[in-house]
Amino acid sequence: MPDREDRDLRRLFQNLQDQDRHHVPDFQAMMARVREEAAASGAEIPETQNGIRRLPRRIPRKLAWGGSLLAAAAAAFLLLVQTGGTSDSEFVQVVQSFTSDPAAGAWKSPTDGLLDLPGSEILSTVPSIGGSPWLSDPGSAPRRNEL
Amino acid sequence: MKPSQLEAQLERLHPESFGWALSCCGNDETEAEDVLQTTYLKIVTGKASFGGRSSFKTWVFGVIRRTAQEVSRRRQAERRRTIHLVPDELGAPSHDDPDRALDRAEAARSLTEAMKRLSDRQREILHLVFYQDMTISEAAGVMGVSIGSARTHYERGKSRLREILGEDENVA
Repeated sequence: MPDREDRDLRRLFQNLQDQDRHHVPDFQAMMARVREEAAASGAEIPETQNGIRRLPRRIPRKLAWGGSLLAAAAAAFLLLVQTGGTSDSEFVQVVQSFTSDPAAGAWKSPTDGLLDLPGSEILSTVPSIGGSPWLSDPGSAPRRNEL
Repeated sequence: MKPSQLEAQLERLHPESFGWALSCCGNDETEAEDVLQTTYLKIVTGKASFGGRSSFKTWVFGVIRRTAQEVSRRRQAERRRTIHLVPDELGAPSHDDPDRALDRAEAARSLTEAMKRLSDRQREILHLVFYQDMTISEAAGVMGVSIGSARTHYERGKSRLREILGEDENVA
């Protein structure tokens, strides 16, 4: 706020204000031009009894916020419900596939790898003798005199 | 707020709004009228709506200020610099004697010219406080600056204005 010693400035501004008041344009004339301009620009402001046009009612800010919060809460709830349902249905699907086709659903422990020792495959495999090309095609076997 | 209430409020503030528009437009009367009309158009068509976070006057003044900046930018190329010598006052009916009326018109002209030499912020804060009788806090709201910043502009503006007015007196 102005101090006591600012009275000189206040007086000057008061005088300026008095002078400016002689130039204040007529309010009603200005509002008439405003209405004309609004009508020309196609703004939707229906007439009321005193000339000012009524604007479409705006959604109160609190109501808008409440609505947004409600919508967000509903979306979060649906997301949670949907996520829960998905995990259940996935489990049921795995169990069903295991019961219908045990080979497809064969379970393997993640620590199985620890039991694998170097050379342990010898214990679980049988050497094949049917793979020799000579046995499958006797004509291709080398003859005694060729040796 | 009902449209009729809105119009009544605008009408009540009209002289002060015009004074503020004049200040925002470097005392160009034509531009000030243009700015005020555009401001009313924004308000009536709902492009600017009063949220109730400040006083109605502070809000309207804020809209006037922004509109003046828009208009100023638009007119930058063809801006007319009208030195307002208030000639109408000289012929306007007055209770003062002619000499006194002349002095008052001259004082107003000196102040207007001195204000033009201040920075925008200083001019705005001094106008809002001394002419519009606002508090520094209200003026800060109109200007969109912090109270601390507004107070700084206010103090510096006052010193500078006194300096300029003193220079003018010495010259005269």
